[in-house]
Amino acid sequence: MVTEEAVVETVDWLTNEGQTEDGFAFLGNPDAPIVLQDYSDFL
Amino acid sequence: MLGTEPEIKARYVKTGQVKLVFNPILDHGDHSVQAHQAAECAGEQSMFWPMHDRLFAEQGSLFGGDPREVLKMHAAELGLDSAAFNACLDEQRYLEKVTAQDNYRREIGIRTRPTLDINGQLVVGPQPFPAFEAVIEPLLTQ
Repeated sequence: MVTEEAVVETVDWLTNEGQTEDGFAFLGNPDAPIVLQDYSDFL
Repeated sequence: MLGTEPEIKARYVKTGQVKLVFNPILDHGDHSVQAHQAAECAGEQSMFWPMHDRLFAEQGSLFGGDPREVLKMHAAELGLDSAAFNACLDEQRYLEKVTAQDNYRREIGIRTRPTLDINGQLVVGPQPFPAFEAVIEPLLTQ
């Protein structure tokens, strides 16, 4: 009898970048429960 | 955001609990305008965040002189396609976009650098990691 084991996939969301619908760059899980909007200057 | 960002990324972004969205503030004239366009140009090569991290780490290099030449150097050192990046920056391809994004944050009353909006809760000015933890942890248990 073959026993199936659940495979837990771990994703490193730091490797995922994209743009929001309104064109802002984001990093991480696009469906994350928390959205942190960072307003900053590079200088 | 600079000092606490690595901790926030390691604890919450890496695990998929937080999506980090970047909103430009153009407080230093043309130097800001060029730097934020450089990040957008890097984004065309899926390198927005590596450029973002580098520009914060090398802030001092962005002051003085022609910022475009410095930004092109950073792009090359990040391993970007220099011809594509340089063309993007020379064309000022994202001038309108970053200016509009900066205008938007003014319209919604964001004045302080940095300001973090976490699901509608504002954390204003440089803060230690526990200040972010205090906002994020309760949201994760809701």
